Amino acid sequence: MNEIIWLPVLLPFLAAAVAPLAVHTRRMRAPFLIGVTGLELICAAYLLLAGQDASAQLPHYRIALTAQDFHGLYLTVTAALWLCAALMAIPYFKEHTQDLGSFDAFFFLTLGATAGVFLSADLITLLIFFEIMSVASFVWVIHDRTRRAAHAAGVYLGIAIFGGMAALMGILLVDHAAGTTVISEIAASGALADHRTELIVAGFLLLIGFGAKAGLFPLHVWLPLAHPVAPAPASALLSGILTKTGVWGVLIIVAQILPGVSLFFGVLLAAALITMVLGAVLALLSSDLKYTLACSSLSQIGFILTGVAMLGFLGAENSSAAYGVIAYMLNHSVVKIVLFLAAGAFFCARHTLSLTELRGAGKGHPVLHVVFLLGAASLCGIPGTLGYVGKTLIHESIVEYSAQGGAIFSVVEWVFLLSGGLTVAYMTKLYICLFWQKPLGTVDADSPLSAAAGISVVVPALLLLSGVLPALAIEPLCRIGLPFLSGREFAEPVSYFSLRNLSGFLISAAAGAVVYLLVVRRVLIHDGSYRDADSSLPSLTDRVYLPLCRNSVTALTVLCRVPDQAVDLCAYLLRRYVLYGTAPRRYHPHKLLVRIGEMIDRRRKPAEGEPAASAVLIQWWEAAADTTRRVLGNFSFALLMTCLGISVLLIYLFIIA
Amino acid sequence: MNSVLLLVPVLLAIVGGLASYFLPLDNRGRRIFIMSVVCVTSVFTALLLFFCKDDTAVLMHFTDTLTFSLRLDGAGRIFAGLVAFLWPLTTLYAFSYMEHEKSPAMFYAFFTTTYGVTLGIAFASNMLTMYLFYELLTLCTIPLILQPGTGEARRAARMYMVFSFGGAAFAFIGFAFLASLGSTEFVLGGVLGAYDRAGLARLIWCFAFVGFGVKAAIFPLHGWLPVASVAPTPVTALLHAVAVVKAGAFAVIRLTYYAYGTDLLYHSWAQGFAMTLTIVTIIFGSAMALKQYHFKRRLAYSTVANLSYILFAATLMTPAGMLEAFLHLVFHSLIKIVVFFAAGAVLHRTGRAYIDQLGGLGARMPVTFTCFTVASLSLIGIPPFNGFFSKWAIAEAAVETGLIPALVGVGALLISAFLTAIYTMRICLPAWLPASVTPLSAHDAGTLAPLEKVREADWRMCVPMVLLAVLCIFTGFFSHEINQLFARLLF
Repeated sequence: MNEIIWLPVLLPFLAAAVAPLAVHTRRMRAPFLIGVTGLELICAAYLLLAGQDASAQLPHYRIALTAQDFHGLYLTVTAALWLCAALMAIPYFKEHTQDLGSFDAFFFLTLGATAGVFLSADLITLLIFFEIMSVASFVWVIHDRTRRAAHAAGVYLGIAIFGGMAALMGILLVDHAAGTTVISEIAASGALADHRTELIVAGFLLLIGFGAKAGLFPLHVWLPLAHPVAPAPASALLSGILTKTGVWGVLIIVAQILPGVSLFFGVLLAAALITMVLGAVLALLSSDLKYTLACSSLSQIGFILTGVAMLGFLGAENSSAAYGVIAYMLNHSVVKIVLFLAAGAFFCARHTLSLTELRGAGKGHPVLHVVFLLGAASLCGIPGTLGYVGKTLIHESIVEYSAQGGAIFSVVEWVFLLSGGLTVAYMTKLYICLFWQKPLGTVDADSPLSAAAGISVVVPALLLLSGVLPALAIEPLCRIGLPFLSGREFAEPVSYFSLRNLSGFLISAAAGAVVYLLVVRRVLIHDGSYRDADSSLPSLTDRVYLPLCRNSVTALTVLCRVPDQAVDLCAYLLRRYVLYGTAPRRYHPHKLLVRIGEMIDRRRKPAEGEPAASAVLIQWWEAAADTTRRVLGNFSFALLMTCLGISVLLIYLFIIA
Repeated sequence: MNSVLLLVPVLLAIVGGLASYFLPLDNRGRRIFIMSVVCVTSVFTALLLFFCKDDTAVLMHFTDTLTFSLRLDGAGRIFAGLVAFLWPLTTLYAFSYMEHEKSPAMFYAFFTTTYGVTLGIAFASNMLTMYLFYELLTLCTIPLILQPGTGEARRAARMYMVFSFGGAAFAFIGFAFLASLGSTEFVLGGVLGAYDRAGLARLIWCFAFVGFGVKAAIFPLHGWLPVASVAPTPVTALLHAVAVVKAGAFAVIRLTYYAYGTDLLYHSWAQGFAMTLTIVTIIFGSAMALKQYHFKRRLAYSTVANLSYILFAATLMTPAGMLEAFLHLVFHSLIKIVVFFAAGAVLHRTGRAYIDQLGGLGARMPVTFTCFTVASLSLIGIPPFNGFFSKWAIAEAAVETGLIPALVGVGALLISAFLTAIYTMRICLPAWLPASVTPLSAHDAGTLAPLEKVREADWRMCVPMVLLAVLCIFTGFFSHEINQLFARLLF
C-alpha cells in the first residue's frame, strides 16, 4: 500500500493544526500528544518492517518519498524519540503553560517536516522539508521569549537560511550537471566524470548548507546558543534528531555526489576534527548543564562526521566506517534524548541549570541515577554500550586508512582518542556533580519522576545496553542502512572486545581521568562551586560573525546609497543647469571685485572724495549684468537668434551639403 | 464574445470613476457607487477572460498603420485577471483606511480610473495603444500620490512625474522605431524578424527597456518608488506593488517578446546589458531595504528588488523565462499586497510608521502580523509558500540557458533571499516578542498611543489580508498547475 508513506508526513501536519485546540482542553493534551506520536511510531515501524517498497511521487513538484533502507530505519528512530520527548513534554510544562499551543503545534510541524526529510528520495524534496523543519524548529528556540532566546533564535534562523540558500544553489548545480535530483541516481548518472568542477562546487555548497545544520565548524555557532535556550524536550530533539538531518545531507554528498573526491573528504575531516575538539573543550569549561550537553553534541557530531570522512576515504572497503557511522548516529540520538530529558527532570525539580546549584541533585533518585549513568557511559564509549561499538568501529576505520593515508592519519587517530578522553572528563564532571557531591544547602525532598517522564528516559537508556552483544543486536540494524551510504558488509566478523579495540577505550579513559583530576578538580572547581570559564573564551559569533554581518550590511548599503544619491544628484544638476528648473542664480562676484578694487587702490592711492575702486567695479559689473539680462531676455534677441540659426541651416543645406 | 466588448470594462471604470467625483453623493453613497463600479468591471472582465475571442478589435485608425485597437491574448488574460481580482479587495481595504482622510472623493475617483487604464494596458494589442494607456496611467496616479497634501507628497508627485515622463520619452523612441518599420502589433516572437541593421535595433531596444523600466523601477531609475510611499497605503499597495510597477514589467515583456522578438536579442550585448541592470537592481533593492527604518520605504525597496526578479526572468529571452516572469509577476503581487496591507493596518490603527516602534504588536494585532509573517516567509522563499516555487522556477530557467550572467543572476537571487530574510525578520521578530524586549524610545513612548489601546484592524482590512495570505499558501501548493495553465495561455 503505497499511500501509507504519506502518513508520517501528513499526520503531524494535521495534528499541528488541531494542537492549539487540544491544549485548550487541558485533559486532552496528554492523550493527544501521546496518541499522535504513538501512531507515527507504529506507522514508521510498519514501513521499516513490512513496507520497504513503499514510495510516493509528485513528479511535477519533484517530490519523491521512499522508505527503503536507512530512510525507514531513521524514520523509526525519529518517531520513537519524538514519542519520548512528548512523554517528557507533559510534566515539563505543568507550571509554564503559556504558549503551550504554539509549542505543541510546532512540535508536530517539525515532526512532519523531519519525517519528510528522512523519507525524501529526491534532493528537492529534501530541501523543501529541510527548510520547513528549520523554520518550524525556530519557534522552539524562541519559546521563552526572553532577550537571550531572541538572540539565539536570530542566529539560528540566520544561519539556517544562509545554509538553505547555499544548499539550493548546490542542488541547482547538481541538477544541471547530473540531469537528475533523485538521490539514488546521482552517482549512477556518471556526472562526476563529465562535470567534475561543477559537482565539486555543488558539493561544497551543499556542505555549507547541511553542515550548518549539523553544527560543523565554522557554522556551528548557533548550536551552543540555541540548544540550551529551548525547552528540554525540544533541546533533546534538536540535539538528537535535527542535527542528524545535517549529517544525512553530508552522507548524500559523500556517497552519491562526490564519491572518491579526496579533496572534499580532506576538508570535511579537518572541519570535523576541529568541531570535535572545540565542542569537547567548550563542554569541559562550562558550568551550565544544558550548555555542556549542547557542546557535547557539537563534539559528537564531530566524531560522526570524522566517520563520514573516513567512509569517503576508504571507498570500496568502507565497512567499518559505514557500520560505525550508523551505530554512532543511533547512539548519539538515543544518548542525547536520555541526557537532555534527565536535564529536563532536574530543571523541573530545581528550576536551575547551573552546576553549582545542582550539586547532589540526583541523590536519592535511583532511577535517574542509573539512566544518567547509562547515557554517560554510552557517550564515553564504555565497553558494553552502543557508544563503544560506534567509537570502536570509527577508530578502526581510521587505523585501516592510515596504511594508505600516511602519517597524518596517526595524528587523526590521536586527536580522536584524546577527544574521547575529553568526553570522559566532562561526563565524569557532570556525573559526579549531579550524583555524588554534597548538595549546596538543605534540600526539600523532591517529588519523584512522574511515570511518563520515567518511561521516556528508561526505555531508551536500556536500549543503550545493546552494546553487550554487538554482532547480534547492532550489526543487523546497521546492515539495514548500508545501501544509503554505499557501505559494504564486513568481510570477516569483527571482534569488538579484542585487546586492540579495548586499548583504544582505555587510552581515552586514562586521558579523561587525567584531565578530570588535573583540570577540573584543580582549576574549575573553586570552593565547591563550578567556575564558568566559557565566558572568558572569545566567542566566534560575537567577534567574527556578527561584526562581519553588520559591517558587510553597512558596506553594502553605503555602496548602494552612493549610486542612489548620484542619480538624485544627476537629476538635480540637470534641473538646475540644463532645464533651468530654478531661476538662474545671478552671479555675484562681489567678493572678488572688492579684492581687485583693494589691490588697485593700493597702487593708485586715491584722494579723498573719490569713490573706492571696488565700488566703481561693482557698479560697472551691475550695469553690465543688467544690460545683458535685458538683451538676453528680450524677444527681439530671441528672434534674432532664430533667424541666425535658420540662415546657418540654409547655408549648410544649399551650399555645403 | 466580440473583442469590441473589451472597451466596456475600460470605459466603465474610467467614466464611472470620473463620474463619482461629480455626482452629489455623501460618503456612504460614494462608497457604494465605487464598489459597484469596481465589482461590475471585475465581473465583466472575468466574463471576457473566459469567453472573449482572441482577435483584434480596431477601434480607431490614426493612420493606416497606426491604430487604436484592443485584443485579449494569453499575456493580457493573465495580467487582466490579476488586476481584476485584486482591485475589489483593495477597494474594500481602502474604505476602511480612508475613513479619516480628507478629500476621499478625488481619491476614489482616480483610484477607479486607474483601474480602467490598467485594464487598457492589459488589453492593448499594439504598442501605440499600450503607450497611450501607459501615459494615462501616469496622469491618473499623480493625484493619488498628491492626496495627503503635504509638501512631501508634492515632492513625491513631482519626482514621479519627472521620472515617468522621462521614461516614456525613451520608450517613445522604441515605439517610433517600430512604427517606422511598419507594424506595431504585438505578435509572439516579435515583428522584426530578420532585420538587417541589428545593432541599431538592439540599441533602440535598450532605450525602450530603460524607458519602460522606469515604471518597473530598475536601477538607476527606481528613485520615485520609495519616495512615493508617502501616498496612502491602498495606493502603495495596489498601485506601487501591483498595478503601476507590474504594468511596467508587463510593458517590458511585451516589448521584448511580442514587439522586438527574442531572436534579435538572444545572446547579444543588449541582453547582457539588460541582465546586468536587473541583477544590480536585485542586490541594490535588497541592500537598501536593510537600512530603511521607515516601514513602507523598506517594503518599497523590497518591491524594487522583486520587480527585477521578474525583469531578470524576462531578460533570459527564452520561453521558459517569459513563463516564469509571469509566474513571479502574479505570485509577487499576492505577496506584496498582503505585506503592504499589513503595514497599512499597523499605520492606520497605531500610527507607528517606523520598524523600531513595532515591539509587541503581534499580540495585539495577531491577524495582521500572522498574515505579514506568512507573506514574509513567502517573500524569502521558504517552501511550501508560493514565493519558493516562483523563485525556484526562475533559477531553473536561468541555469538552463547556460549563460554566465544568468548564473550570476541566480547567485544574486539567493543572496537577495538571504538579505530579504534579514530585513523581514527584523520586523516580524520584535512584533511577536513581548514589548519589553524592544522598548520604545522615550520620544516615541510620549507621542504614540500605548500598546494596551491598540486594537486589531477591522473586518474590511482583515478579510482581504487573510484571503490573500491563504492564497499565498494555496498557490504554492498548486504552483505546478498554475504554471501549466500559464504555459497553455501564453504559447
